[in-house]
Formats: sequence, C-alpha cells, structure tokens
Amino acid sequence: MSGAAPQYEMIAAFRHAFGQLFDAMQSHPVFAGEMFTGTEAWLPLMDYKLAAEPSAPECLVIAIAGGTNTGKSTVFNLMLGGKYSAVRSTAAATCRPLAVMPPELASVCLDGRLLPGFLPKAANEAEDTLDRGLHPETLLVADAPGLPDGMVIMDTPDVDSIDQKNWEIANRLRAASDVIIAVLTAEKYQDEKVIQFFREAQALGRVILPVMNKADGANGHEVARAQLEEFVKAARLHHPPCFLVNHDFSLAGNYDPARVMALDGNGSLRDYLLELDATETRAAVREATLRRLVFYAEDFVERCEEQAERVSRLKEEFDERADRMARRYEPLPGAAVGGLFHEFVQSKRGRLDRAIGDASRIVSQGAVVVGRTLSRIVVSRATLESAARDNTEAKLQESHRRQVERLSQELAAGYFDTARNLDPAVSGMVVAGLDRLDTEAAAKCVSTATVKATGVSDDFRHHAERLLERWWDDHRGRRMVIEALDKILLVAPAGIAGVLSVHTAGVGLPEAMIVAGPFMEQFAARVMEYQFGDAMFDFISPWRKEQQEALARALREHIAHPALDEVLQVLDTLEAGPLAELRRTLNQCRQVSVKP
Amino acid sequence: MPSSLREAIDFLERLSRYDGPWRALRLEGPLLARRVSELRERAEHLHDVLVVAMVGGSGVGKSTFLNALAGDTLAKTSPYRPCTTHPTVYAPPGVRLPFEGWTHTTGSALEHLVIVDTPDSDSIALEHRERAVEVLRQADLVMICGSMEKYLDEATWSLLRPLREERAFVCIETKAGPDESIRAHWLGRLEEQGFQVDRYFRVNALKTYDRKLRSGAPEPEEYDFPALEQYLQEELTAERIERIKRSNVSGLLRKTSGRLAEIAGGAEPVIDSLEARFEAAERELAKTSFAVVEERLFKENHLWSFALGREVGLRAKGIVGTAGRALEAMRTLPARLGSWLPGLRRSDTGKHAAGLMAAEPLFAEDLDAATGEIVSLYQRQRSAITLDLARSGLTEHEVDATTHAFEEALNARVSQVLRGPARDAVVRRARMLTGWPVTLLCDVPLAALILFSAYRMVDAYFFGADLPAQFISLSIMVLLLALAVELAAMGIAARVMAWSARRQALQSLRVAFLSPGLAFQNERAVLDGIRTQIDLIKRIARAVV
Repeated sequence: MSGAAPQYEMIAAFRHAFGQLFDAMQSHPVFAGEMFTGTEAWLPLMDYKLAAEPSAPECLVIAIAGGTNTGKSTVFNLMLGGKYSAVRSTAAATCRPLAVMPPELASVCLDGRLLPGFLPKAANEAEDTLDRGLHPETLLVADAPGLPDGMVIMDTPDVDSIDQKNWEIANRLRAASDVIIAVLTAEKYQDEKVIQFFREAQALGRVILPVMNKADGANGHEVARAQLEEFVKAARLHHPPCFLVNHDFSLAGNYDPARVMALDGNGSLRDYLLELDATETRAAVREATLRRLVFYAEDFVERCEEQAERVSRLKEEFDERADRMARRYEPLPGAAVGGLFHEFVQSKRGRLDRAIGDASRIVSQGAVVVGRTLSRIVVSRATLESAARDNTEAKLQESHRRQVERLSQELAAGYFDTARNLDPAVSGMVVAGLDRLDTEAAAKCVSTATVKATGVSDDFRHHAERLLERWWDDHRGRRMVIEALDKILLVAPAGIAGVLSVHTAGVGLPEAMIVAGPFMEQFAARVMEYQFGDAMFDFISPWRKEQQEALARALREHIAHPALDEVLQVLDTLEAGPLAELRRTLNQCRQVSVKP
Repeated sequence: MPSSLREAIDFLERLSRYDGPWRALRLEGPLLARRVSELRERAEHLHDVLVVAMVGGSGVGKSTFLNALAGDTLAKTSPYRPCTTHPTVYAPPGVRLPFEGWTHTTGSALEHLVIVDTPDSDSIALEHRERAVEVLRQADLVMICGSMEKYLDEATWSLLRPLREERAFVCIETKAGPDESIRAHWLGRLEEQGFQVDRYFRVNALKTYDRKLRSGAPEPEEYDFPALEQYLQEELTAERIERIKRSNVSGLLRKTSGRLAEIAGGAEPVIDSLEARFEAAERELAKTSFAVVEERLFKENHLWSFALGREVGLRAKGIVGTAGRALEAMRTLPARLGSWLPGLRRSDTGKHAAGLMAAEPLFAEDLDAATGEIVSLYQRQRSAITLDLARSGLTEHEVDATTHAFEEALNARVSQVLRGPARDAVVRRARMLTGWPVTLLCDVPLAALILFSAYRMVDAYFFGADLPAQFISLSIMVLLLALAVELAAMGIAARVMAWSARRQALQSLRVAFLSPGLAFQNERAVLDGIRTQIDLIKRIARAVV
C-alpha cells in the first residue's frame, strides 16, 4: 500500500485547496471564524487514514474511549497487562493521551510520523497522563515489548466532562484510530454525549468494541447483556462482539488481560484484537472515512457557496438602495440646459439675422449691467428687502450640493440600520466599514462628483438637438411664433436705439436701453419657452435622469462600496478561485468515494 | 412582597416593554420579560414551601435517594438507563402545587419542603433534559446529585451554570463508599466555576433505603444520611427557607440589573457625545439663520425708519410734529401707493411693515423668515443627525421628515423679537421724539417768531410804526426756513434713532436664536427618553446593591 492510490492525491489536492482558502480568509478573522466553525470536527480525518504516509509503517491503532471516570485507564492497563496509565478515582483525571506500542514503532512515533498533529513525548511514568502542565497537544509514547507487531493502543481523555479540551483530543484520536474500545459502565451507557461520539465513530467505519466495565456478574451477566444491547442499538452498531470486566475491587493491581472477557465467554478482548485482520480493517476504515469526509466537506462547501451568494446579494441590495436614493434627487435645470433651447433657436437664424443679432447683442450687453444694478435697487426699495437674491447659478449649485449631501447621509443612516440586522459575521464587517467611513467627507465627495456634472453632457446635447429638430418640424405654427419673436429680439435693442435717436436726438437713449434691453430679452425668452412648454418635460427628463445616474454612481463609489469594503474583499477572495478549486477537488474526491 | 422589591420589579417590567429607539434595550426586552415574570412569581411565593430539585446524570441514584428519604418506594428505580421519565413531586399533605403532568405524592413529613425527583440531564432521551430544565426553573434549592462517575459531566453542569447566582446549591454524593477523594475535587471544580455550595453530603442511598425498608437503626455505611435528614428537617426552618428564597430573588435581580447597568454604561458616553453634537449643530444652524435673517429683515434701514415714522406719526404734536407727520405721509406715499397700483411686486409693503412691528400678530402669515437657504441647511444638519443616531444604534421610530416644526420655531422667534423688544425699542424712541420737552424745544422758537411778527404787525397797524417793505414775506421765509431746519434735524434724529433701535433689536434677535430649542426637538426627545431609561436602570442597580 503506497501513495499510488489516486484518492490520496485527490485528498491532498482537496486539502491544499482548503488550506489556500483558509489562508486567504485569515485577513478577515471574524468572518473566517464563522465560516470555519465546525470544520475542526472533520479536518483531522484527512491527517490520518487518508494521508499518504509512505515513511510510516502500517499499523493497527486501537483507541480506548468513553465517558469520564468509566475506567478507560483501567481497561487500558488490563489490555496491556501492566500499569501504563495512571488510574484515579476522580473524574476527568486522564488529560493527555498515552500511546503504547512495540519498541520499533515507538521510535517512529516519537519522530512525529505515526500520529501527526501531536507533540510526541516519551512517557517517563504512568502519572504523566494526569499532568496538566504538559502542552495540550502532547502525545505520550511508551513502548511495550509484549505487543504484537503493528499494534498501537491508546488511552484517551474523556468525551463528556466539563473539560472540553479533553473532547477535542478524543475527537482527534478517534480520527487516528482503526479500532475503538468503548468503555461503558452501568451508569454511563446511554449518555447523549457518549452515544454521539460512538455514532460518529461508527459512521467513520471504525471497529467499535463495547466493553461493559464494573459489570454485575449476577444471573450470568443478564443486566450487562441487556445494557450492552441497548448501547449497541443506540449507537447504531452492527452486532459487534461485546466484552465486559467484572466488578471486583479486590483485584486492583492485578492486570490480567483475560479479565476483559467476551460477553459470550469465548476468549478475551486481547485475543480478539490479535485475531483481527488488520489489512481488511484498515481498508474498511479508509473507505468509510473517505465517504464521511466527502459528506462533511460537501456540507462545508455548500455553506461557503451560500455565504458567498449572500454576500453578493448584499452588494446588490446596497447598490439598489443607492439607486433608489438617487431617484429622490431633483435637480433644477440651470442656464446651461435652458441655454440649449435658445442656442438652437439662434442656430436657425439666417446669415444676415445672425450679423444683426451679434451687433444688437454688443449694443445691449453694455447696457444690461447698468440696467440690472438699477433694477435691483428699485426692487429692493419696493419690497423692503435686498433683492439681490435671484436664483443665480451659484445658488442653484449650492442647493444641489446640500440636497446631495443630505441624500448621502440618509443613505448611510439606512445602511447602518440594515447592517445591524444582518447575520453577525457580515454585520460586524459592514458596521465596522460604515464606522470607518467618514460620511461627512464621503458626502462631500459625492456632491463634488455630482454637482460638478450639472453641466450638459455630449449625450444630452445630442438628445436635445434631435428632440428640438423633431419638434421644430412638427410644430409649424409655434415655430413661426418663435421665429417672429426671435426677429423682435434680434432687432429690438438696435431698433429702439434707432427710433429714439431720431426722435430725441440721443436724449434718453441710455435710459430706454436700460429698461428695454433686459426686459425685451427676458420677455421674448419666456414667451419662447412657453411656446415650447409641452415639449419641455420630455426635454428635461433625460437630463434629470442623467444627473440621478451620476449621483447613483457617486453614492455607490463613495458610500456603498467603502462601507462594504471588507465584505467585497471577502467576496473577491472567495470568488477569485479558492472556492471553485475546493469544489472541483471535492467533486473528484466524491467520484473516488462512490467507486466500489 | 416587600414594597421596594415590587418597585424594582415594576421598573424592570416597564423596561422590558421598552419599544423605543434604543436598540440594545429593545433587544434585551424578551429576556427581561421572562426574568420579570420569574421574579414576580418568586417574590410572590417567598413564604411558600421550598421546592427542592434533585438534578444529576442518569443512573446516579436520584430516585433511589428520594425513596431513601421517604422510606418508601415513591419512584421507580432500575439498572437500565434512563429510568425516570417524568418528575416525581414529594410533598407534605395539604400542599397544592401547580405542576401539571408530574407525578404527585403527598405524605412527606418534611413540612416546608417539596422535593422533586427530576429525569436525567444527560441521556439520549433529550426530552428528559427539557423536563429537568422545567423543574429547575421552579426550584429554590438544587440538590446536585453525583456519583463517582457522574459528577463532572458537562451535560449536568451546563444546566446549572446559568443558575449560579439564582439558586442555593447542595451537593449529594449518592453512592458514597470508603473512597472520599471526589469530595474535594468536586467542590474545588464547583468553586472554580463560581458556584456557591451550601452543604455537601455523602450518602449511600441504596443502603439507607434497604435499612428503612427493614426499619433498622442507622448504620455507619450510610455516612452523612442522618445529617442530611437533620438538615432537611431542622435546619431548613421557615425562616431559613425564606432567606434562601430571598437570596435567590436578589441573585436574579442582581444579575438582571447588572446586565442592564452594563448596557446603560455602554450607552451613556454615546448619549453624551450625541447631545454635544446636537448642540453644536443647533448652534451652527442658529448662527446661519441669524445671519440670513439679519441680512433680510434687519439690515433694511427704511423698514425701521418706516416703523419709527409710523409710531412718531401716531403721537406727534405741536407745530413741528404735525408738519413732520404730513411730510412722513408724503414720503411714504409711494410705498403705500403700491397697494393701490396694479403690477407692483409685494405691493402690500406698508401693511407688511406695519404688521411686522404691531403689538398684535396682525399679519402673522406674511412673516416667513425660514428661507430656502435656512431650510436646506436644516435638512442637511438633520440628516447628519439621523446618521449619527443610526451609527450609535439608535433609530427613530416615527420620523417627522417635514420641516414645519423648525420653520414655525424660527418664525415664532423672529416675530417675538419684532413684536417684543424691537417694537419696544421703536416705541420708546418715538415717545422720546414726540415728548413734551422735544415738542416744546422745537415749537418755542417758531412760536416766538410768529408772536414777534404778529406783535410787529399789530404794533404797526395800531401805532403807525413803519414796517419794512416785504416784512411779511420775509417773516414767512424765515419761519419756513426755521421749520425746515427743525424738520431736517428731526429727520436726522429719527434716522439715528431708527438705526439704534435696529441695533438693539438685533441684539435681542441674537439672544433669541441662540437660546436652546430652536431645532431638533424630536431628536433631542429621543436622547431624553434614553436618558430617562438609563437613570431608571441606575436607580434599580443602586437599589439592588
């Protein structure tokens, strides 16, 4: 039996993929903690029966397991026929496992090749198993010259006491063993924890040999027989040979292997073990372990995939919210948008018109400045207010900026509420991300990115031109009105100036220009827009949509994604390959495991 | 139930029903409600019998132990695990207990005790464990039953751990033999995990049971059994029982209030910083609003001149005063004319100005100090505050997203200043300008001039003195000149006074805006609500300690 079997390579590949995923996730400890919870129960399976270990000799590993204070160490000593492990009357006394084996194996084991994952240490005396000062991963190793070749017997800590560290060691040793001797007593053969332990061992294909310790010998062990039967049923075992040790205090210190005798009276446990076909047992164990491993790994990978799915849904949800929030943005079109219309109308002027228009504009422009200042003073007198508060571009931008900042903050507040209701691992990351996020600054970034874009994009310019062109062709009547108005607008300043010059020889010309220039300009512009009115909504809405989209992009970029920063990293890590690789290697393993 | 205890429980109950914005307390609600109902039940039964629960793994001999206590076969025992499926209640005659579905046996000689044998805590029959939990919930005193093999099982300990501070514990080693080593180990581990064990008894239940069935005398192999019986019969007096129950209640109360105090302690600095944050936001808002309102209403000198002129006009007397009134009427004609002429924007300027400073809120609807600029700043601040609340785990339940409350508060403040201090300042100055001293001072020279001219004319008429040519026209010119000078002086004085009245009003406006309560009342109410809860929790915690 060497590493030639394909399953070893596949398991090694799976193991490698798992290790990569594990390493990749280490930068997100909370999430990783949640994700890898439960894996410690099946990870050791890969360490022992399924790992190709060409340097370690094949051997039959026998573990003695059971509830606390059932007498595991006593049975262990009885099996070996000597005091190897300390026996105490108090519970959970054995806390470090002890492995006894033939001397030639012991040296291999001390190198750490036989039972990897533990720190092997040569046992000096029996009391070492009680020493809590030793490293928790210590495996004590002793040699027993009398043991047959390739047989390792282990004494393990309990599986049910309040020292939960003991359970973990017992679980790992279960993974390392081929045969498990279940030490039971009249009190402890139906305990939930104990039964669970052996059910799992059964599922892993281990040979389980129940031993009823301290059995009552009355009526031909009638009680012990019934109790063992109940145990076998509860642990879902398939008619294993059962053994018992009679309740006899007087024999303390007399370690005779024959005292662990078969229930039917034929021989002892030791004899049974010696006759056991090691190769066949190991093969069966290997096969069942692989099946079980695939079963667990399948579950794990599915959970990971679900988690990745959930995280990506979360991103979608956050983006969706940002979009919804952006739809509440209601920018008002400024001069840049309105100007497009007038630009268009002016583009329809003939060459002569254009020349007159330019001259007229030059004439009126000088007057406009004076006119605006004067009209402002007049209006302020009439309304008791400094009327310098017209809706200038700067004001409009300021109001947009505030609106955008407000929406950003409301979005972040909404995220907080959502994040708190997520499942703990993700929630922690999102809340931390939001906490790290300087919303004030982010809101400023959003507003800079959005409000800057209040101008007119080329797309919108093209759209507007197309729309106006169509409208121009469709509405003949209005078009004529507009053209007429444009003519008036065109000649008004120059015309007024001309007429006045003739009549008054220049007196009152500036005043007339001051009043008439801006007035005419505004008047004509309003009338023109009114003519265009019903098409105005169609005209504006794509622009508004464009603005909202810009806001949505900025909200995603500056708020949603920084908040989800860590979550997205997790998603990237998961989707970048380790998970897919894990799935691929797992599928290979499964194919091997279902093959006969 | 003592009144202080009832009060504490009532407080806790109120907290358990909390449905406000404080998330941490809201999440605590269901657990708190369960605890409150348990506390209430326990507090009401302080003088009742003591419920003793025997808890332990399957097969340690709980049922045998009960049988030994009773000297009779009350509970079924067997070598097969698990044996007891339902709790057995062993109670003195006449005691009624509300435990349904449990086996009841009356006839106990232990007057104040009800002993309940529970199903096991650790076998594969998981429903047994649930029943044991049920019994534990009702119990006052827990007898932890253990044997050599089953005294350190996680299955049993995990049931007891949550009850550490809320129950009295007694350890019973049920299958004691000559080996005493587990006593120290067991007690040591219990202490290590924070259990306080009242007593420890080593008994051999099976031996005692056999002996009692035989009606023999106690044997030495029964170890502490006689001591245990004495403990149950004599030491657990009514007084002692009440003490145990009381200490259980106070343990639970301590635990509950401790947990709440922890939550409150975490929230307090958050609330403090939020409050400071709100204050800063409000101050900034007040400053901006002040600047805007100052710019709009208070910078307008002609409004104040108008108001002062109106007040002066109402009180003016004497020659100069009357002339000044006529002049004022002419001067403000364009503004008043505005309401009659079509097309002029804000044509009700005169009405408006008069209304602003009238003692009565005549045209309250006209006043709208909250401009778009102020409102948009308010909205932005408000969203920042909402974010802060959300960040701190506080959510507003009913969000009033409108700005009406703020606008009203702002307008109320402006109009209060205009109708109060501003109007007072204007009226005071108007009174000064139209008072007798000023009137006399203005009128006396004119009157003297008129009298002098009249005298000269009368004198010339009756006594034939020669008047210079154009005397009359010259007198009138001098008179008019003097009047003009005085009117101009008055006008200047009125301007200066209007200016100073404005300054004074501005001062009042600043004070009015900076006084608290301008904005964020709802948000502040949220914090106040939480502070109330925190105070309540602290009070309970103090009372419990």
